[in-house]
Amino acid sequence: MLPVREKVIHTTVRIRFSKVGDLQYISHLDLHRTFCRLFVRAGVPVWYSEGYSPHPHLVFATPLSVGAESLCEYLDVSIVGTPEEIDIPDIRARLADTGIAGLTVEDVYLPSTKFSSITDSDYRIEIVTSGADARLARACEDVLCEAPLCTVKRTKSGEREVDISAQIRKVSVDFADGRIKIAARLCADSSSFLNPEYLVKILRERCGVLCGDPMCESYSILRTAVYAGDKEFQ
Amino acid sequence: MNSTILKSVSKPGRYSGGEYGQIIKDKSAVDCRVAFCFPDTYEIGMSNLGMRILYGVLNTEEGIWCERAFAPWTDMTEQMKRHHLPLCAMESGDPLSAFDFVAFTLQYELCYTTVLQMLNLSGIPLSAAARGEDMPIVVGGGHCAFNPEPMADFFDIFSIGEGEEAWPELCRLYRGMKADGRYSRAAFLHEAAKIEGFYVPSLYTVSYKADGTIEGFAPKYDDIPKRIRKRIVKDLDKVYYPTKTYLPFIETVQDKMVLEVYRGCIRGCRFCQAGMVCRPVREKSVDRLFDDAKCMYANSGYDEMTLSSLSISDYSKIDELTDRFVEFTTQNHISLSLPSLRLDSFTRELMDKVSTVRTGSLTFAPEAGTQRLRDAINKNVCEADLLRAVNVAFDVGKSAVKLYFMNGLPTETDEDIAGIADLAARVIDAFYKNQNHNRQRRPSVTVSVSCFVPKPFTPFQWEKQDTAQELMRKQELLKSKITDRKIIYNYHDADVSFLEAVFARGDRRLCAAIAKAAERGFMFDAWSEYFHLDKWMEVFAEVGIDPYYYATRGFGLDEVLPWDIIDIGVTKEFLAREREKAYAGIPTDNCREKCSGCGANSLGGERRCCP
Ligand code: SF4
Repeated sequence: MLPVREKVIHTTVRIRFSKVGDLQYISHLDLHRTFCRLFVRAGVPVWYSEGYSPHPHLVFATPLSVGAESLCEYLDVSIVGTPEEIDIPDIRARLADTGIAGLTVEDVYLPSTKFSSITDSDYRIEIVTSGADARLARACEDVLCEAPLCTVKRTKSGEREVDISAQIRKVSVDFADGRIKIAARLCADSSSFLNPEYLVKILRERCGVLCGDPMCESYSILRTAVYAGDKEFQ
Repeated sequence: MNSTILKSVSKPGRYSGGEYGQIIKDKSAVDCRVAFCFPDTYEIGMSNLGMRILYGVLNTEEGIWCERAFAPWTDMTEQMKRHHLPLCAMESGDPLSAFDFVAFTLQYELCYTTVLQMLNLSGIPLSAAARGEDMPIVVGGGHCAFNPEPMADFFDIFSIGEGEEAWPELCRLYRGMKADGRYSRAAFLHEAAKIEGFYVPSLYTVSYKADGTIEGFAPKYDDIPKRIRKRIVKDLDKVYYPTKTYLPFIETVQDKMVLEVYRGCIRGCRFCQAGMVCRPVREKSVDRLFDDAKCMYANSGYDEMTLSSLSISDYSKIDELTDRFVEFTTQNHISLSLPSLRLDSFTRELMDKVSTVRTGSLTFAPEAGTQRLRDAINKNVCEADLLRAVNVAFDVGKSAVKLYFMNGLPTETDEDIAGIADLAARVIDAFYKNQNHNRQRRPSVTVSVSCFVPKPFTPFQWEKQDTAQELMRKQELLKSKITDRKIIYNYHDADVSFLEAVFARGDRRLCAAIAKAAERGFMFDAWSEYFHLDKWMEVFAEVGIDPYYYATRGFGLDEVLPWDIIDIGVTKEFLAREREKAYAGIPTDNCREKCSGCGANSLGGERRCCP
């Protein structure tokens, strides 16, 4: 017997958040649970689906690989009420302190765009590696600008070699503060999303970065912006 | 933790920490630091209720900081060894060797080598005798500590019984002795041995008879007890409960609110260790449970809650409790689960209440295939109970049932084995005979059979275990009796159960084997991919230990048992009486019907049914 529940009016609310530090090791699936609990603790009136096993409705904008930090993640959640009824400043205040180190809610608003309009993401990749200097940075840039740029991609159906050059919209590499610093704009639409880890993988294989002592070498990936065409995604 | 290494291992979220609800304290403001270690993966350890309780209760004390540590998976262990990284606590990232106490909870026997690997990774000497003044005090607790002897060499102290009141006392003693300059390792251990519930194995000498059995235990001092009495919490309504706790980010085995309803068990199944060592039954009041539940929900935001205890339907106010919970859970979209349901308590009413949000799978444990054997093991349920229970389930459209059994129980015959197949077949019949059965689905019965392990402090503690060959023969026999494809048959590895029996019934001499196994790099024996009996047999041979002596030998009634040093309240005489009744096939009344004088009432406390 299904519990009888009235239909509850609900509205999609968008949350922009950053996810940095050790939270980079937490997947979006894990973050899904984390947000559900956060909403309950904070008293945000999330809407629950009808049926046998009611659950909140959350959608993340674009994937973020484990091991990457981000300043601009987007999450849509269904909140009880009409757009007029929903008290955005109140929700913003409730989520001001997540209580979780590295997780900050940057903004809460009623969205006017769809996640499907997202096309690209900007990343900053920093590499601490032995032999880092301006020459190595230039060599890295040369490699990443090659077309075609082939690498082995692991997919569900096995490994296969693919050309990723078309998914790299822009890339530049500099040497600063003793590090190799890469700024890259990569495809982020759902059909041709490029994981920035592939850039690191290619440089590791072709330029010899990150091949030394892991206690002294490291890299970080940070998503800094998300775009819908030429404009920053809202 | 170094990011390059974290990025190179599987599931880095196991190690990165930072969970909501973890407790961070100022190191300079505390004088007693405890690293609470779970000798298995993060996912299993984070689900453990005992760890949450002790973590919470110790951290309520100013001056004490309790942190968590888990066993790194083998890929991480390899990285740590390669780069000489010590095992660290999650909260501070400090190595375990820097703590005052390193505590392990011993939940199952096959975690023993993992304990030693964790000590190894921390640079803490395995042998308690080899630890210097600057090394942490290593303390073991949990269910396996009821027979601590196979791990006696590696632990400075064992905590016997419930820890939430005992642990703070131990820390108080430590801090006091440190503060007034009386502390030395030896002096502290001597004092600790005087607190009820703490066993310091190095302060007891074990002597053996010519036939290899134990002659006796002798305390090295006159002022420490001859036997160590387990601790119990006297009043569960007044004791701390972790209503605010750490919440894992990554998926763990049991990631939900756990509400402990009562401790102990009124039943007394004769194979069950938990049912004996947790006596006497002490309950929490409905009010306290309800308050705790609301608090837990507000502090966590979890949408699942499970009521935990050995047999939930035996809670004396189960109807009142579920009635009160229904509204609260429905309103907040919390799914309520009741594990460990006895099949004689499974009613339509109860099912409706717990299924308001979500219904789980249906599992029952008849344990044995015939009434004769169920009587012998004191599992007081009958076939009619089972058929009534499955009909309740079939009435509401369910079609799958899971049944748990045990092979190798004392007095078991081939007839009892065949009885398992018959019982499963009758459940399938019951499905088709049920007028309301689900016409869209085929019925399925999963028969899951484990191997009997004679456990300390049970009426069957003296029994020999069937040999692995005999267990395997019985497994094959049952397989041949199950012909219906709607019955799915699973069984446990007999070799694993054999090793469990060795450690469960072992004495101090086994320490040599466990140390040797650790030297060989054994760990995660409880994980089938790392369990290798042949390698263990090599280890036993090398140190000159006959494992069959512990597992497949019947122990004499007049023998001093390795765990006789521990006093759980339940007397040996009672256990022997129960064993006789098992042979005679006579069940025993449950504690609510009639007290059978087990002795646990001598422990005191706010008992539910004891005289
Ligand atoms: S003393 Fe009696 S009632 Fe209490 S646990 Fe033992 S048998 Fe049960």
